[in-house]
Amino acid sequence: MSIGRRLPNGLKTPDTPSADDAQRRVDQIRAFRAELGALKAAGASPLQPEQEAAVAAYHDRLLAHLAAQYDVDATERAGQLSRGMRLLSFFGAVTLTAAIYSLVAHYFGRLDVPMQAALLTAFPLMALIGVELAARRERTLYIASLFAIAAYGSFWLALWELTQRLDIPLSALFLWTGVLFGFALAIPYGFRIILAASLFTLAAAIAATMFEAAGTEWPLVFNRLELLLIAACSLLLLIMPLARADRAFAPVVRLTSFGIGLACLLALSLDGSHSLAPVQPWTAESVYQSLMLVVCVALLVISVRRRWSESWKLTAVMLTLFLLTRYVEWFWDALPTYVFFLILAVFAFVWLLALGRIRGRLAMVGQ
Amino acid sequence: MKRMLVPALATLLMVVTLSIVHGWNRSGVPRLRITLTERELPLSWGGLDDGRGARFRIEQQGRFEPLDARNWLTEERLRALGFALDVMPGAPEAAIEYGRALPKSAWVALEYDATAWRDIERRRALTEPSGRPGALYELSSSRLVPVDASLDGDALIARHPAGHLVIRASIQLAYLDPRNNGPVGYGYIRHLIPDHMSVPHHLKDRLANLPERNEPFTPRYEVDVALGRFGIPYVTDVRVLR
Repeated sequence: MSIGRRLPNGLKTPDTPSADDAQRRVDQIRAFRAELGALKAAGASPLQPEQEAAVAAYHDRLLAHLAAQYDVDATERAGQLSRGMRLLSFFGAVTLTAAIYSLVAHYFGRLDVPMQAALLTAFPLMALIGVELAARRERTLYIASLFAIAAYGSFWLALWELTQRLDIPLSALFLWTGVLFGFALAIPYGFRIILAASLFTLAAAIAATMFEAAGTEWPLVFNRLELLLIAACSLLLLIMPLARADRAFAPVVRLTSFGIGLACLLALSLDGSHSLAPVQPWTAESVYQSLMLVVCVALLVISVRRRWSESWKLTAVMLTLFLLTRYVEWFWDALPTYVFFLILAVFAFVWLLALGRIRGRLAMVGQ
Repeated sequence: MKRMLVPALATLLMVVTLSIVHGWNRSGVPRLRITLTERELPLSWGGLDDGRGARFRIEQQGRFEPLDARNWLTEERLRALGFALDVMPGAPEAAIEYGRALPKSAWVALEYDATAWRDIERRRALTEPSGRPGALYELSSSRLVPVDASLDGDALIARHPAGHLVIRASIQLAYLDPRNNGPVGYGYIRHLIPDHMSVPHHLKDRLANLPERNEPFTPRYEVDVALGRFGIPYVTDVRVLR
């Protein structure tokens, strides 16, 4: 695998390996060394000492290069520490945003409107400066992502508070500024959480704009779900352009699009009154229940074949939730309680076997 | 630093747009003016730790009683607002159709302390249990009563140039089934848009030392309200009455 340098402005080409690619390579090398050690212990190593030394020297150079370029986790312990740091980064971001919000709630009444507007503008701008300075100093972007989430959160805080202070109704059109902010922050730096939030906002903004154009309130987009479902599906059009910026964005787009879509289908299958269609609620429920089953099975097949691990995990969870809700709704009153739970246990075993087969199929495809 | 440019511009775009809307709304001659009291504009309280500033909540008479609602939101007016009333209230699917209808955003004219409010007072006086007929409602309820609605705000202001507050609202259909003295379909105001007005910073001190609310309740302040170019109401003056 060729290791290319990051471009100065942070944007990557399709050929530039990502940090995830580098970490996967490091994990491969560690696994190889562990297996080689086990083979030598069993007296079954196929390599001569000079061959082993040459391979070890090559791997040492490669690991040093990857560590210098991508700050990868060379050991399992380092990997655990990195996971902890990611969690801590997210926690820090949420608490920083909450602190900004509490500051506003506590003191803003003492300021006049121009000062309020200036401070609300300053919060996201200062956080953006923090993102840039942190990104220049650390390759892992833990601190940078903390500031990025704070910037994103304080942008929405600014929008909400300003509309409240200025008594301007929050129109769907203002959501588009948030979409622009989110994408402009996520793409150059590679922030996947911000990208996922921006994709969700994009789907909501598309549906909300259509609601407002139809003369009704846009928050109802989360009550009548078809437009949000269609907008979620349209997010898949962004996979190719976003993957050109960073290959790691493609799973994010799939996860967000499928997540919103399946959540809408699940809600519609549970309660047909969430449908815009001019049919009886129970008719809408029946249609969406059938659709949910077909879509989940199709998605499972496609994501296994294409090796989209994030997609098949999401689909498996949503399908399980859907089947569980159907089972409860159809059989809770009809069956004795012990039979109800016994059948549920059998279903869990069957589902485990099915997922095991899918996992085995994934392993075969990987080979 | 180029990476920060677009998100920073997006932030500035948002703030500048809101500032322009705010400034433009308050520029020029207001589209109408009205003076309301604490009954119509009670202070809104966000809790002990809410220091975001005083705001008035715009209160109006709900007119939720179906037959009363049909007096001002007639079938013709509801159709003009965009509601498709194709199903008769007595039809079996009427409950579902009325319940599923999406609310519509429209302009409403709220009449202040005039004929419509007197009618409501008289009806309440007839139905009030023993005690002081109507007194409780007369002193504690908003005297803003919805009397007209239209998709055209300018036409509504032209029809009601004085003694009214014209404001945007969300209007919803409701249905009363035969078991509850129906069948009847009617409309009502879900909420006003906006339903709050901020107290200007330079006027907030006037509300800092208000006397305690008394019983029977009498308003402690009155507020001059203007309707801006974008149809967003704003406070121009606050006077303490007692």
